[in-house]
Amino acid sequence: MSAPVDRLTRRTVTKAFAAGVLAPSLALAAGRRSVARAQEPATVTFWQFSQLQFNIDAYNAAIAEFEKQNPDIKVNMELVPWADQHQKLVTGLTTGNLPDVSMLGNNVVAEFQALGALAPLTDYFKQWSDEIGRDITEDIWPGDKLYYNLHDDWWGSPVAEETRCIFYRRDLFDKAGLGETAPDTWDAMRDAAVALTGDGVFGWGIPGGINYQTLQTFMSVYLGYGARFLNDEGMCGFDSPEFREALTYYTNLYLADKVSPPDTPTYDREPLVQLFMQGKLGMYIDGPDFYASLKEANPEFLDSVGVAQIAQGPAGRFGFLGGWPLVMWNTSKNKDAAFKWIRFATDPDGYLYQLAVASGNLPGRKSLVDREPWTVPPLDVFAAQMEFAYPYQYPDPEIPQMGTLEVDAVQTAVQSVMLGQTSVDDATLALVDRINAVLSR
Amino acid sequence: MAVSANDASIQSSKPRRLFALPDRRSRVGYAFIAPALLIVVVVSLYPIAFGIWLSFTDWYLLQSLTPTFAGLAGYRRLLGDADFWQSLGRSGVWTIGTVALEYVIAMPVALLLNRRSRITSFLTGALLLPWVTPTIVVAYTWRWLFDSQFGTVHYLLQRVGLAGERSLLADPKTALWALILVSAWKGAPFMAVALLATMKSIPGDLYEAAAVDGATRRRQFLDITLPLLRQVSVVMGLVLGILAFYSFDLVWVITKGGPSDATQILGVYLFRLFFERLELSYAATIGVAMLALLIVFSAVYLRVASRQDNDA
Repeated sequence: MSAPVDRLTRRTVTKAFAAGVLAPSLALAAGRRSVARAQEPATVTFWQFSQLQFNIDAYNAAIAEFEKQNPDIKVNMELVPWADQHQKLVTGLTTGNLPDVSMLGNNVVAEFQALGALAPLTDYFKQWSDEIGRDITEDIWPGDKLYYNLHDDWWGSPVAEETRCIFYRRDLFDKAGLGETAPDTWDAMRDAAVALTGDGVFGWGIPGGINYQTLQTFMSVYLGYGARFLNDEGMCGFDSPEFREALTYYTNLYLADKVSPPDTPTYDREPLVQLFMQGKLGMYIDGPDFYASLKEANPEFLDSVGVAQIAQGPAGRFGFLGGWPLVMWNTSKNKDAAFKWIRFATDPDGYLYQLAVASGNLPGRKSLVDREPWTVPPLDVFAAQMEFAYPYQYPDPEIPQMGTLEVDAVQTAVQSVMLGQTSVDDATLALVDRINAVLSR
Repeated sequence: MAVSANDASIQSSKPRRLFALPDRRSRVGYAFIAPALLIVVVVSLYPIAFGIWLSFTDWYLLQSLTPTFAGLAGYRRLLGDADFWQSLGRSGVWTIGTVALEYVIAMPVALLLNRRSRITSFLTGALLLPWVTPTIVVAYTWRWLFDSQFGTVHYLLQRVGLAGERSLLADPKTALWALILVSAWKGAPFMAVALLATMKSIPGDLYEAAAVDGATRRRQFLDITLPLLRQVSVVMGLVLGILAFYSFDLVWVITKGGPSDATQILGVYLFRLFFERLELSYAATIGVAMLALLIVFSAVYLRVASRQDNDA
């Protein structure tokens, strides 16, 4: 009686292994072979952060052209939202799954460079300069040099720059008797916002939530009032009358002047953009890509929209300096191929012009800014504003901890004051403690 | 004294090895489950083990690309970390509030759908829509619904005096409760379907006999339906409680833990520590603490439920 059972068992065991173990193994082996075949041309994985279709189209066109010129290299573009940039890269860094090339926010280049995660581009830049007979780094914006040239090496090749300007509704200004031009000082801006507020319209929509937009807007105010992120000892410099004055000004727009909507303490970009487009905001601060989005969504609306440079404070005019380079990650196994792609995409004689135009921002090279569309309104205003565009920690150099600090430190102070949970003084002291705790680790 | 065949086999067999190799038949079974077991080990046990190991290290990404052993330092920090205890408290309110509200919403819905009518099968299918809708869609939709400038829910709440000028989500006193409402709205259908399935399995004879004895509908519900729903309620309460305790995405998309940390539950705190503050090992410590808390809570919950069953 046992023989049939044994035969059955042997057969079943064999089948079980075939189905459960061998088959997946064979499938995996086959998969590996097919991957190996696909990798015959050098593959460059590229993380692209913009989700806007016109940007995606521009990069697809650039890749198609690049692959035509370099048939031995294939570029695989993967989309990563800007908002997820940091967590995606941190995850990639800790799990060893980074791309060959990616965009990178200028504010976190120093962070990833300090971690040893980026590959230096200095030698490639030198070779590039030698080939064309001029130093390509001389064509890079001065602000970008502070971001991308760290410890005498280059770590990024700039693609686009952005700074912020005031978007204002000409029709609402006219209705409120404010004339044609936007205010040029923070005080005048508040007065205009007060005049515009009423009948369902808020004079000036400001972000107050825990998001990048809040810091990128508020930094123009605190630098304009003369506050400094870092003091001479390299620790937090916000424990100053200038910062308290700036924080009072910004939070009072919501608390005292009530020129911003009731949900301001939690607002990020999205609701403010919607409110502006619905005619419920008189003024709003944003970058050139906002203009590009407006143009695509509602071209007729542009007639009633004006763009002006950021207002001045007692210490001058300061706007946020955004932008991004292409960087090469140290784990790349195809560094030469990766740099070929970087060079093609960031070369004024390559595809940089098309990519910068598509982004709706300013080009990463000075030599391109004298060409259209950056010589015609409204991008000419942004180009002029670039002279006053600075990082959060101006006038100090970039610090590796900024990627951590910019996420929620200053915003928490802004929000807690707006919510009436703490005074300007207490919020400032708590902020200074928090920043110093990070800086001293 | 008669000796049975089993006794004889025991007496005549060799001493039994502690780790005896499985027989042929068992090997078939092991062969079948081997791939699945391998997957469980790789995707579940290994990350848990790695997380536990990481919780005993010091790994601040801005200082080092690799962790160094630090013993119990993370757990000592956890004991004195006010943010952790506040987040734990919020997670408790969030979990209990979500499950309780899910039950409160699900029970009448299940009772209603337990009636025979033309539209109940359609409604039963439609009922699952919130459950199957991706969390990101639910989160963005509710975020706008609660907005003071765009939201119809805010408008209605304001009309009945439950909201002021500001959105409930922008007020630290109400934000967590508003999120609990959204979470329960999403989870209640799952609970309702489970309750409904059990209701349908209750024999009609019980209700007929109770009716003959003069029991009112209310009495039938209290003495027949509710006791027979007890087991499924216990299980669903535990499952949905675990899901709520671990949840992160809904809160993150709607409020990011704000305003002023008012909705920072443990999942959000852990995420911030890992991805924003780059304190990888301490984030792992929080993760291990969450796992341990959940195991203890689940054991106590099931023990109490089982004891009450025995008492009944």
